[in-house]
Amino acid sequence: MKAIHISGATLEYKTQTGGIVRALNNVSLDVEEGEFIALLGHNGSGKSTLAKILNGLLIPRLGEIEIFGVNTKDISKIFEIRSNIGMVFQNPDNQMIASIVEDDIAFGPENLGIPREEIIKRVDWALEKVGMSEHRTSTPFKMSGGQKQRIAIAGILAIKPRIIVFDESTAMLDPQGRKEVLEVAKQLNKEEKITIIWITHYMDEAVDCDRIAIMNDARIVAIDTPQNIFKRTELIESCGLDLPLPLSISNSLKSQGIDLQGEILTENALKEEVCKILK
Amino acid sequence: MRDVAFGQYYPTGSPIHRLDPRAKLIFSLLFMIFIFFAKSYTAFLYVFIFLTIVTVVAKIPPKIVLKSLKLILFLLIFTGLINLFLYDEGRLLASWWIFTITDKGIDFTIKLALRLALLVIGTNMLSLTTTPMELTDAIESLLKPLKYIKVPVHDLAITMSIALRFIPTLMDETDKIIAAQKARGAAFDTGKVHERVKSLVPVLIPLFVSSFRRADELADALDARCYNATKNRTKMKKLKFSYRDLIAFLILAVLIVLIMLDCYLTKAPSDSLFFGTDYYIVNLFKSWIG
Repeated sequence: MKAIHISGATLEYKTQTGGIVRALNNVSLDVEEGEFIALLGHNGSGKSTLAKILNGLLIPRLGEIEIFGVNTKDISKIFEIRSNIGMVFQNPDNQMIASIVEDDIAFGPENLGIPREEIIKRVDWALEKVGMSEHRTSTPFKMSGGQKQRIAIAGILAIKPRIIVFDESTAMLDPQGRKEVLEVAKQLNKEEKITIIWITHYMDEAVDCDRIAIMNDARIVAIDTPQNIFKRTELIESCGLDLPLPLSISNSLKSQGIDLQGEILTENALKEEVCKILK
Repeated sequence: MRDVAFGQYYPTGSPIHRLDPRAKLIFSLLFMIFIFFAKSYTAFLYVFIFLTIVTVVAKIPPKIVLKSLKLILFLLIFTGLINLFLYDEGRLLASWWIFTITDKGIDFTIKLALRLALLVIGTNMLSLTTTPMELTDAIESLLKPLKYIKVPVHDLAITMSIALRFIPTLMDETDKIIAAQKARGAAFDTGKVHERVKSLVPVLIPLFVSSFRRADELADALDARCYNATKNRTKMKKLKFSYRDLIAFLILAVLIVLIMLDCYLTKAPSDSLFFGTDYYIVNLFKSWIG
């Protein structure tokens, strides 16, 4: 069974002036369980709308979405869907409901009617997974953005989802916080086999995921492995995205006639290749 | 800035802090009611001793406890003066124009001040030993019976806890907006009163706009975490009455009984200046000096 199956999703918004903006235009996507998929696109390309149709926050006008075989149009199963697919949003401040860390994390399982002892176990486990165990009884108010976002992730983990969607969860964070949150996501993918949909407009966050999907003008214009996607420099630039810095440096070097091997996506790979040539 | 989320909360981990918040809420209500039955100085002494015991057990420095009186100091002085000069029963001690000072007036003024001060200190104990979150839980739990007449108790409780949660966030935001407006040359601390009030408009409008945006995002986040207000919800933190609450109740009960005995069982003549146990003590004292 596919973790996520979207076929022909189409959705329009009404603007304040009465116009109609198409946010999704016949989008289809299949995701296998355990995959780490990056969804890239510039502002207004429809990424966040795609995220919101996944757990039934929005229902598309046309097309079907199935999460582990359950259609999001089936209102009676909405809590089953939402407990299978967690969502971490952009602003950590706007997704916390309690003033104390453990109360906030317990909110999800409380909603699902999980017995008390099990909730306590889940809170312990979720805090440990994001490395925030020592902050259990403190208040998130004074924490850094990265720490707050890790607590938001713990809040989602506590509902034990099989898929987690990160909707630009690093956009408001400093470089250190971005790294922390991406690390946690990768670790959850590896250790807990949780399927990750990583939505971002930072190219460099997508380099070592399983597949990259690029959105432009309400459509998915390309979906492939990072190696293949980054070969298509023109496509990436036409979608208003920047290449990862190591790749754009190596491309410039290549165009100057320097013989670098392969697609260079990370700083380390760039360093090695450059060192080889200098020897 | 102290952490607003914790309000006045003074953490010491004492047995009083660990009392069930529902018990503390009920005890505070009882205290507020029965302090109005304290009519003699002896009864006020009982209340004073009770509050001293509570303060010592709660391990809260007296300085912090007395701080709450600062806020009502003006009220105390104002009502005190009015009572002192305008009370006209009893033996006249001094008078000028419409102002009179009588013995009963002095007595009444002192008792009123004592009652107000003890009332404020006693109820303040609740906020010193209980976090706002615990209070929210307590209120939700105590209002549970109202569910049967279709009052959405749980929705109210979660609204309250979200409001508490967003106070520091919105205060932060206000500071940022004020800084941004100052950077553009807005003046907040100069000019006439109405000018200063007017200068707050460009702070309030962005604050409202961003609050609505936050509310929108929060609603999505609540939905994504399976929020529903049905019966099936469980709670991680269960409030539980324990032997501690019983002991605390017994101590409070002793105080209440003493106050009521003083109020209803002692028989001082109605023309006496002294009331309740005070009358016997004064008489004993008088016969003792001869």
